[in-house]
Amino acid sequence: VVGEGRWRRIADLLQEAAAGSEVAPAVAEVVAQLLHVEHVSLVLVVGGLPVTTAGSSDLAVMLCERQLALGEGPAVEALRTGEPAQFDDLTAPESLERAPVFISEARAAGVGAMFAFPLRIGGAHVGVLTGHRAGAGPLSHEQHSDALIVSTLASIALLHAEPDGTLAPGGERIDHATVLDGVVQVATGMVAEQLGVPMIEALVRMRAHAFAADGRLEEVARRIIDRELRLER
Amino acid sequence: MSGSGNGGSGGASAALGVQETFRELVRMATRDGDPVDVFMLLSERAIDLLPVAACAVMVSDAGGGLHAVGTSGSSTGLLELLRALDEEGPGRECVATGLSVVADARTDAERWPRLAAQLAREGLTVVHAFPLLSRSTGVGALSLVGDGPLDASAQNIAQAFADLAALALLRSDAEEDALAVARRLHRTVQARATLSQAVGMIAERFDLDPDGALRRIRVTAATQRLTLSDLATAIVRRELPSIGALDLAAEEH
Repeated sequence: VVGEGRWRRIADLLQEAAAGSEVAPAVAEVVAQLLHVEHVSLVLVVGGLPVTTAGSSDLAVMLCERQLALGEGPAVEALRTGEPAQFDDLTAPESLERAPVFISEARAAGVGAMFAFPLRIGGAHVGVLTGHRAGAGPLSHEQHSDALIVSTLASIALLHAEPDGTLAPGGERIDHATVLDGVVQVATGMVAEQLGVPMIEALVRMRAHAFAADGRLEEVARRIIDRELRLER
Repeated sequence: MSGSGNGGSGGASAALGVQETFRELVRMATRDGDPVDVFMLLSERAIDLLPVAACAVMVSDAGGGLHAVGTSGSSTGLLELLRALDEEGPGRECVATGLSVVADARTDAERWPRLAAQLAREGLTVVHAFPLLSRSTGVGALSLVGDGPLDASAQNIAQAFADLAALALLRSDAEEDALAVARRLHRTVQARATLSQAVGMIAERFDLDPDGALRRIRVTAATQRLTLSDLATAIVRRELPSIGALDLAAEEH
């Protein structure tokens, strides 16, 4: 297990890249750096629909949109299963079997390997990040392990974004303990059920309420569970 | 905890003995049981066998944070206590040193103020943390919370529960490497977050407290022969057959 230092370092990288600017492109930039991939795209689930939100290049955006249009490919697979989807070698027959049309197109565009990691907090689906590069071959263990860390931290950073998609400078620290907290998760499920909204929206609303009322997310969560607080539709 | 009973499997059936309990858990852990299922059952069995009010299996993520992936209940009191244990107290020390650690709110309040306050709120005093070890590295902790220290024989049983939890987490694959462990930890933490969200949905839908909702989910998973993770995923995806089954479980429970 990688030490605490690595997690903190990645959190700092994200915080620095996103401070005062848009979170999604900042995430893409940090992921490209950590995974040593040339291109990164980011899909966010907005109102239940996946939307291409950032890409480090025109090629990244184009390949991302093709996957969503075709309904196949690493990003689509990771969104569907909630698990990482690795395509280490696009020339391998297994890759072609998993996503025949998309992989042919990606190969024609000169892509050798693709790696998709879901952005989620339990059943709250934020989106998916995908990296690709010209050379075939798997991610190193360290890169893969970094990808797991950055996917959790990026989910939280995106949750912290202001309505215009930016992260307020000097704002909240990217902290995974609060969001993964058991009380917060139980309350998220209650709000999702009360309002009939997706899990991610329930989490966003609880956060917004905590922010507006100048309270802590855990306190808001506790009051929801104790049925002292009900968020309005 | 918090007036919700001890969250155990109920007093009607006699608790299983030590041997039967371990046979049951080892079978589950070695037959590719879903780690969340193993940890939840293990926590429940631990409070049946040991003189404690609550139990949690906590795993360390790559960031050094401790996540309660298996718990003997789902009450806010217990979950808040576990959060305090993530931030301070014997859990982290136990993972860092690979040794068991005990915290007594009556004597360690200065050292671990938040934990002591949370224990006092629950009317409890002592937390024992036993290490989950991968070779000699701590990867998690089994936390037991009660109103007094455990004697030597109870501590032995507790460490055996912790070893079993480590077995379920790590498996004994020859090819097991740090990445495989990191992936399993990541997946387990996500699966537990999903289970907690499902508890919230069911609590709201059937007007239950979180402990009651967790019990309902466990009974349904057992009768439908589903893993807790699979059932929780179906619930958060709002797949109706599973939610219908939860409704039926009310009559049996």
